[in-house]
Amino acid sequence: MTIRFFENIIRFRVAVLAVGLAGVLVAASFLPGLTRDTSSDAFIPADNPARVYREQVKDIFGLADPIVVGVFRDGEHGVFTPEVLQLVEALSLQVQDLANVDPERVVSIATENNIEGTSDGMRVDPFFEDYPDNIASAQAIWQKVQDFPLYLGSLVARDGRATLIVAEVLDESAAEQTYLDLMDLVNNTELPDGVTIHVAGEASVTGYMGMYIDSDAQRLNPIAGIIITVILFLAFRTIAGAILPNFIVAATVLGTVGVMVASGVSFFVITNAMPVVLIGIAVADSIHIFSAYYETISDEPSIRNDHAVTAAMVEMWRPITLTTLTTIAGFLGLYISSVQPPMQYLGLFTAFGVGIAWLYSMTILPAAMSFLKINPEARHLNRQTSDIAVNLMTKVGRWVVLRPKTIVAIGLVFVVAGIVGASNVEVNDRRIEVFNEKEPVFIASEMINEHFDGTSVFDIVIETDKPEALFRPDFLRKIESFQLEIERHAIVGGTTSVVDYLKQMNRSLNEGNPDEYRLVDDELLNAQLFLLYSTSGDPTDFEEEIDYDYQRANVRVNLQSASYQELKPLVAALNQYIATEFNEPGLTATLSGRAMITYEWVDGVGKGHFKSVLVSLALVFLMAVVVFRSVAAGLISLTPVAISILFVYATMALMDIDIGIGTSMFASVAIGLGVDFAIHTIDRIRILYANGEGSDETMLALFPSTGRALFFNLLAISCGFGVLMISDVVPLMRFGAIVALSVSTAFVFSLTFLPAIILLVKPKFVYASSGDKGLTGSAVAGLLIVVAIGLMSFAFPVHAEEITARQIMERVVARDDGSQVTRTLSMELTDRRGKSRTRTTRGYRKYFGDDKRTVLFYQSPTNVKDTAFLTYDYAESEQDDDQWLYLPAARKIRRISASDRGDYFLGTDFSYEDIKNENKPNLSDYVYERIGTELVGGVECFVIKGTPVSDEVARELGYGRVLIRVDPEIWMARKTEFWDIKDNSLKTILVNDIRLVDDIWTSHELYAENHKTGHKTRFTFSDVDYEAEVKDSWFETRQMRRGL
Amino acid sequence: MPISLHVTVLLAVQVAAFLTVLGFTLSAAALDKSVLVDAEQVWTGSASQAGKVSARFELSGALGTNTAFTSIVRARVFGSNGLFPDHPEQSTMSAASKRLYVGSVVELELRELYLDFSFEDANLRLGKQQVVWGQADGLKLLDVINPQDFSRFILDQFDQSRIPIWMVNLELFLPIGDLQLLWIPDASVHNLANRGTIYEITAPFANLPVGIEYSIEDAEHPDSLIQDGDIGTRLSIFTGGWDLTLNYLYHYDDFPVMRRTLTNSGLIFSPDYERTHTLGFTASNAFGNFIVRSEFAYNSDKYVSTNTLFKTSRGRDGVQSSRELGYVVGLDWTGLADTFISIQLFQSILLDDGDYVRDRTDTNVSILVRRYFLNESLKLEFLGIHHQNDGDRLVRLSADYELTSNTTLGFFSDTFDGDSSELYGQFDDEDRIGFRITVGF
Repeated sequence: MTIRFFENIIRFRVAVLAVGLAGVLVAASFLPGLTRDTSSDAFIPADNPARVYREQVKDIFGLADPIVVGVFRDGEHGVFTPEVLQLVEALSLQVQDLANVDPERVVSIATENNIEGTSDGMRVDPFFEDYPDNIASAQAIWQKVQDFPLYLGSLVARDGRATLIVAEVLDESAAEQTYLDLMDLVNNTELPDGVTIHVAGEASVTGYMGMYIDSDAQRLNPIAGIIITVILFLAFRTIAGAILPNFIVAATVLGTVGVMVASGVSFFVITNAMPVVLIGIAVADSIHIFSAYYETISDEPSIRNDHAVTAAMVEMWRPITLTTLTTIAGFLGLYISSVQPPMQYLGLFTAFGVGIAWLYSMTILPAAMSFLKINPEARHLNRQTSDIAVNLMTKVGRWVVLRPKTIVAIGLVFVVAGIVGASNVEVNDRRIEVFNEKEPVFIASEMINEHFDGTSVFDIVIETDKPEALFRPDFLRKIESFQLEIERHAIVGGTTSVVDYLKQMNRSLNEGNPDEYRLVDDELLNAQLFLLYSTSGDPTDFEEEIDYDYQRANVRVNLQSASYQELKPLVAALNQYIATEFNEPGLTATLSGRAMITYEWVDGVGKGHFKSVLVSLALVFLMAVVVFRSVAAGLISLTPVAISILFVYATMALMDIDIGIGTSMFASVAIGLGVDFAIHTIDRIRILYANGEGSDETMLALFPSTGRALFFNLLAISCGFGVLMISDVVPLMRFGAIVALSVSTAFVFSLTFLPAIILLVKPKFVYASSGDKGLTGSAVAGLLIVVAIGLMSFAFPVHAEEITARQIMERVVARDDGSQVTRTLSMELTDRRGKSRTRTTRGYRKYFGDDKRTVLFYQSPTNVKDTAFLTYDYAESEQDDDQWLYLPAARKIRRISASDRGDYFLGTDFSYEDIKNENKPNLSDYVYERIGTELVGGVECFVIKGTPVSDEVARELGYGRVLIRVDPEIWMARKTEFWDIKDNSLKTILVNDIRLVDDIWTSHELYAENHKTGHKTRFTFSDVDYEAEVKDSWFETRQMRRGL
Repeated sequence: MPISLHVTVLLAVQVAAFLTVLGFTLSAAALDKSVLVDAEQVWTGSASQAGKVSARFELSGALGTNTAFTSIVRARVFGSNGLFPDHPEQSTMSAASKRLYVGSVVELELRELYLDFSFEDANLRLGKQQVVWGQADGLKLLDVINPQDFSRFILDQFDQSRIPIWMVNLELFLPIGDLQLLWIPDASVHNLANRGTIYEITAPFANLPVGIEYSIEDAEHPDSLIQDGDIGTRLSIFTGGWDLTLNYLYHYDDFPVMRRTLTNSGLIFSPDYERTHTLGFTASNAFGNFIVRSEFAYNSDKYVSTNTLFKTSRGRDGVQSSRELGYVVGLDWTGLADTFISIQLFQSILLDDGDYVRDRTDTNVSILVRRYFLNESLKLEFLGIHHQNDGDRLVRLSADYELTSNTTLGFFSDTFDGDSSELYGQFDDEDRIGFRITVGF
């Protein structure tokens, strides 16, 4: 039956090749839609509290990740010379002009204010009030800074030899370009003697890292391909043997990435590992088939080519299928056990790609091979006796057969050593160590951390329950004590909070007396200090420290290091302190900030790592048990992989390599690839010992054939990954080295420890098997179906990854919004100058069958009070709405025309269409397209591009295109951007404050900003009730006249 | 002084009722209070300045689950006037609807005071109120239930100039549509501008020879509560996208019939009021960006001044009765964003032959263009009413700017054009400009 299958493949080879090629082309056609998401935020699940909180902190205090420009000068006077200070001022101005830099959030000594006491109170003046055009005034500024402890260590180095320009970026996802722009700017600036400039900061790291890793991987992947091709040629010494496997590799990688793009998954930093893994696996399948093919020819030189291909396939389909199943199991383990989306996708799509490699190896490869002409010389060349690999493997075989006990003993030593070593492996990572230490950003970070309090930050948000509660002396004292506590930790460079400003202001009020740098126990005085400041300074100076109504404050903690192992005790201590000191009602604190994100990330990597190793091992074990129908076989096939992982741990511990972002992936890859050696070996051994025959010497036959194939398999994989060792990206380099090491170990143990233990234990699944090869065609088919269903059932409900844009929007439209609702709507309209108007309405909506009726009654302001607005919206799209307006002044109900959908609703920035559809678009208006995912309000959302179906619809709507961010948990658009029909940016609508009301997800705030007019509209919903009675009669025109 | 005592007592009752409701509801939770203050300064062609401050106090709320009340009191303070003499007689007002004057500049009026009783299939509104019929804007055909205050011609906003009256207003919600039944015992009629004031209407009630002396006698007002009451009914139907109404009103025409007699001392007008049956029909619907509004009214007895001063077989006392058909067709267009354009054609056709001072077919055309700017915070409006027969017209321009949610600033001008014998032309010298501030609390 299997023979017939492959005979048919060869008979219909042209059709098979055509279909296979078409499949690749279809998948490849999706490639242009590839989106990259190189942010580290992508690694943290959207609902992770650290990430959610960080978004909030950004909202409240505007604390975006900064780019930091350090200006250094060593000689006399440090940076406080006229030339350097003027340079700082010029750079500050130029930085403000950079795209994506928030011009109001560029901070340097040239932009900041000094607080000084005067005879009649306090004066807030720029530090540069006396322009530093001579050395004396420059030194005077240094004197002022020294009297202002807040900026020492943060803006100016404590030794006066460096100062910073800190610029916040507007869009962190575009930080890459901003970093490059800034580097450009710095490189084109003429520097005074002795001055050096370094650019670092979290935004630089974030921005540069993705690009850095990507470009490196793109450089290395082709090299891996070339090396593998060379190895293939060495193995088979034919062009076909070197080229055809490459085609399978290309098909596998293109197909997998294509499907990934089609399902809307972004290409993450670690996805770079996937092509390499797939290359390794696809090549392995081909190597085994070619190996068997040339073996067949060498055994029977007169054989017809198609018969040789069929014979090779019949021999190899089983082990290849088995390894495919176990490898898929290994990567599914990574998928199941990871919490980080990029890891999950890596597991899922690599598992998928392994399946594709199998499919192509079973169909395209034999179809293509059937076209080969057997070269008489090749017959000779491929005789295995002449091969170094054969010689080597034969020697190994003899050793194994002679000394199985020794080998098992050595193996056990490795196991023990591995366990000891593994227990010493640490989870740790520093983002900056992604970069080669020669990279400017790495040097800059080190320089700045050396001179200043540190570029990595925690933000601790202190929240009270009442406005102005932070004037309370007891609360301020608590914050002060907390800061002192935090500063005791060695890793902390310094802390900044509103308390420091209050102290400085108090000191200024007392003629700059250093003893008065303290808090005062007077709530009123604290309030007055802020008031006093605001009279001479800019009140937004405190934006980063305290919110506008003095209810929430931020304590910024500068850290000397962002290393996970150093952060860990600090996080634990801070959380402990918060739990005891900030847990009263009305005063709470929460840890946040970029360093917290890093902490959570690495923490997740660490926890996920060990879990995924166990899950992958368990799955591989189960799969092996199933395919060999023996628990013993499952255990034995797992040993080489398990040992290899322990060995790698031990090596890592020995070489002081930590489990980090790059290294954590190795285990799953190692398991998936490494188990193949064991599976091939066991399968071959079972065939050798079929029917209960065979002595110890029978085992020798394993080595020159299967052993040789596995050897080249290993060479291909380890060289492929080994290439990564020349990478500039430190984690990628380590990843390559570790995978190569672990796969080699797995190979060695599969061909030594594994046969040795079989010889010693003589397990039943080898010796008692009665020709039953353990796995039949139907069993394989069954297993593949189970795996496929398993893959889908993991993939679909959890992430809905395969869902199309249209399906997403259908779900959005189908979202339950209640058969009726009662709510109060307050509209706030603000023009570009900040003048705002408000209206309050009470509204009802109810479905009458598929038709929808809505009525709004104005409650305020007085001049429009009692105005009512009634709409009948018919499900039949051809039928225009019926609308009425009741004008109380005229006492008259007016019929009004069904508004043009693109018209603005009652002077707001929402169109009638926006209002009517309540955040659900009309599906027939747009063609939808998925273009990836994006974070909105801390939630990973689908990004859907909507293009109106025709120019006419576009004109009706007033929109040329829209970008909708759909929250896949609740199927609600959280953010939509609109472009007009000339493709100018038109407006943005944000859907905020989403809460469950009567089990229905309900947005309590709609915010629209028109980018052309600068006008903004905020709709605030309150008293939303889906259950209160809503009478049909309220939607009659007469009700408008009668009012509520 | 029996009449003035009568008035004082009734006013006292009204105020007491208002205060009672006020006191009662101040403690009620679901109380809705609002005050709208409107200050206006105008300069008219005859150089008289007129300042006016109007404050409208509204108090409404629920009295139990199915009952609600609404009360609105208006206080107006007039600057240098020329608009009304001290203590006007208010002869056109029914005793129960008269205003209260304090000094020569302050006017207090109970504008509305009614109770709503809601039932499953009916609503009963009892009290002093406004009921508006019809679809037309600016000129009135079926909107004849409440009389109007013409003391500033038609320049006041309708809700200010409409005179609320006491009535029983029952609406029944039938399967076919809503049926309204009205009984209006309050026999108040239009308040025309007093003789000698700017907006005294002289045309086209009579074609008076130049220089002729005339006097006007006190009008004979309908005043019997039962006999002189108006009754009306309206059926409203919404079907196939059409809003339709059928109306019937048996009422006194609120314009006086200016019967006249020529005596030795000149011409004497003896105004009185006559009843008519009014049968009406309205229809409106939307077609894309267009709204069609239409209104038809048939009056059985319309009394029109004739050219002949003396009794003839058909025209008695210079007045002749005719059947009248009036209609308005309006077309609104909203095809341009933020813009509303409306054109209306009014026609009144006297169906019976006669020697009327007016043409038998009287035609008015109105054009309204309104445009919003700055997210509807600025409204510019042009309204032109053109009287086809005489070629006279009224053009009204206004600009209103919403300064804050509760404050609106407005500038306006009203320009009359035509001869003194014509409806609009008679005020040709009284073009005016002005500004107003409206503040809500």
